[in-house]
This record gives sequence, C-alpha cells and structure tokens, in this order.
Amino acid sequence: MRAIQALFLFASAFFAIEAIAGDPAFSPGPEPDLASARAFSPTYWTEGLHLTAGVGIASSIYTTDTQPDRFGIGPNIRTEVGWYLYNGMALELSSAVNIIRVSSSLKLWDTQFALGIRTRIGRFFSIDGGEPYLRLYAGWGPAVAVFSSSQSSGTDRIHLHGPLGGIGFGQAYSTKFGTVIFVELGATTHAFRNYDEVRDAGVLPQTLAHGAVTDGSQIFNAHLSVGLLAF
Amino acid sequence: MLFALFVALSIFPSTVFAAEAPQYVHETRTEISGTEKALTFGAVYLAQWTSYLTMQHRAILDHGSFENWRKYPFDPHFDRDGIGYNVIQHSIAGNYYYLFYRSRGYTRKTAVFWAVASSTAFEFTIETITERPSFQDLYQTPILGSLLGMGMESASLFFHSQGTWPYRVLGYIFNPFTLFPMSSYGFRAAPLIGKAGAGAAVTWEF
Repeated sequence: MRAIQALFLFASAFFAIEAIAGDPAFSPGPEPDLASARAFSPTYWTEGLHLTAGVGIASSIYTTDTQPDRFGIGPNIRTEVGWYLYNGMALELSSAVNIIRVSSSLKLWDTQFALGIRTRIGRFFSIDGGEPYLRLYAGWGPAVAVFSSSQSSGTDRIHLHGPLGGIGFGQAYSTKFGTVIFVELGATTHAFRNYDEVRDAGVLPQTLAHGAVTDGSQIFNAHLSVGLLAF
Repeated sequence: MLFALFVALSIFPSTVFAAEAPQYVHETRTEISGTEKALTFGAVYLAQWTSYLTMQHRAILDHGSFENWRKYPFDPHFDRDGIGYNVIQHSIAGNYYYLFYRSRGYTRKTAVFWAVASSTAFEFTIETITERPSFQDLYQTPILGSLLGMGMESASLFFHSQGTWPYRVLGYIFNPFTLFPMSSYGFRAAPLIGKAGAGAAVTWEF
C-alpha cells in the first residue's frame, strides 16, 4: 500500500512539474491568467493571488543548553500563498516542512508557518541572468522529534512549539515555456517555548505530558530549494 | 519492477503518438453562477459529512460530543498528529477537493480557493465533533493537496490522451472525476500540423 502511495506521489510530482512547466507533451499548456492581460514574469509581478511551491534540501542544527548539538539533513517542501501588492512586493503566508534525519533513531519534522514579504532587490545581485528577490518572514510552528521506536515512557514523539524567523535569497527565471521558476537559499531560526509528549493510542493521539521548554532548545536551519509559480 | 513498467508506459506512447492523437484536456469555464458555486460547495460538504461519519465513527463514539462541536471552533491549535496523517493523508484529501472543483470547470486559482473554503468548513464545522481545528490542516490540506492535485490532473490528462483502454483506466485512477459525464474534461478537436499537411482530429467523449 505504501509502495502504491509512493508511486502515485512520485508520478504526481513528476507530472505537476511537467504540466506547470508547460511542456505540451504533458499538458495543453500554461493556464492563462484570466484576470490579467499580461503574464507574470520574473521582472513583472502581476497583482493578486499567486501560489509558489518548491522542493529542495535542508540541513538543521538542533541545539540545547544541556546536550551536544545535533546535525541532520533531509528534504524540504515549501509553499507560499502570496498576495502581490504591486510589481515588486508581495505579502506571503508560507509553510516549510523539513524532515531532518538526525540519527538512525531520531528524525526532526520541522514545520514552519510564517507571514512575510517578498521583494525584488535589483539586478546588482543577479546570478546567471536571474531576477533576484528577498524574502523575510516570521511565524510560529511545531517541530516534532520522531523516535523510531516508543520510549520507555511510552512516548512516540515530542512536539515542540515556538516562534521562528528567517530570510530567503532567491533568483527567479523564466523558462522557454514561459514558466517562472525560483532557486532559493534561505536560513531560519526556530526557538521552542513549550512541548508535548505524545503517544499514538487509538484513533487520536494522546498527550502524555506537556510543559515549558527551559533548556533553550532551538533549530538553526538552512535550505536550498527549487520552486515554481503554480499560478 | 512496477516502477520500471510505469516509466516505460509513460514515455513510450508520448514519443510515438502524442503529436497525432487528439488531446484529452480540461476546459476552464469563464462563467459559473453563484447558485452553481453554492451547489458545488454543498455537494462537497455533504460528501465530507458522509465520509467523516463513516470513516471516523470510532473516534466519534470514543471522543465526540455536542459540547466539543460547540466549543472547539473557537479554540484552534497546532495538532499532535503524526507526519503520515498530517502531510500525506491530508494532502490526498485536499487533492480530491481540488480535482472536484476542477472537474466543474474552475480555474487553477479558483479551484485552490474553493479547496481552502471546503477544508476550512470541514475543520470548523464537522471535525470539531472530535477535534479542535488544526492550523496545520487548515493550510496544508488545501495547499499541498492542490499541488498534488495539479500533478494528478496532469497525469490523468496525459494517460487519457493516449487513447487506449489501459491508459484510460490509469487516467480514471489518477483523476476519478474524469468519470463524471458532465465534467469539464474530454477529448477536444486538436489541430494536426505535419509535413504532409494540416487538418483536425475527429474527437469524441465517453
């Protein structure tokens, strides 16, 4: 069942990229923006709602005041729902999901919800003909320490919650099919204020314990991702 | 092995037949009345209630109450679900919201908007029988789901366009809403331009 799910997800991702990229072998072409006479491009941001999404790689360092730093690497999935105010500035509601393998027995599933701005920053920072932009964001989110097996206390995972802030520097390009793609390098810091110890019991997860985080737990995260303008 | 077969099936027909075959496409409707939008949303809402009551009856019996239903909408939080549930299963559910609205002729943007509306309605007025609304679900179900749906739709269009029944079956599996007789999907006239001349493909729908 998991193999079939994985196959469907892989195929879907493949076709999504092909379709959004506008390859006529896979789709009838990019959907016209009915509200705008001129298409969105890296140098001309049309006003209104736009959705961008990307995948990439993330690395994280998990630090506390009481334990050695832990480093991990893993996939990154990010999406931004942006309200483009004018050509060059957008307000964004974003989500980034990083699944970081810290050790064979521990994964960090870090979800970052944020509000932020995206702005173009001038061709001085252009790389290989791209249109540079900057993203600044702040928000809140859960990071989940997922254990490969239940702990002696019965805990399956620990949910940590806290504020986050970050910055992203990217380059936008236009493909030969007219699709806008992004390459972005970013960094986020995610501090934790409280925690829940959770066990999977029955149909709903059960919270075994919760409290304030007092050991200065924090994740420093960097990501490199490639994204597309979905619409 | 299965993956290799899938790749072979995907690549071979597109290279050989894609240029001549009539295309199976989605047709966006520019005018959708308010009444139709309300009925479409209502149909999704009814389906949400039905699936919730049938698939979550254990959770409803064990944890559900009218008091939850009354109080929880005002108390959203970050849920404690696992990654398989939050990222994978919710994305699959959101994918069906998106595909359904697309099958009614909505643009990508409006289909995402209505997927957000349906997902929000589920979180605040249905699932609150047993759970508080979840910030993760409110965002990830419609957004990740819609992105997944864009891929599913494209895969379905591609497979339908191959024309033969094994591919048509795959097309229906990737997007079951292409089965709907009144859907906005179908074979459409496709111009044929080649070395020998130009013309148009005869098209059909079933």
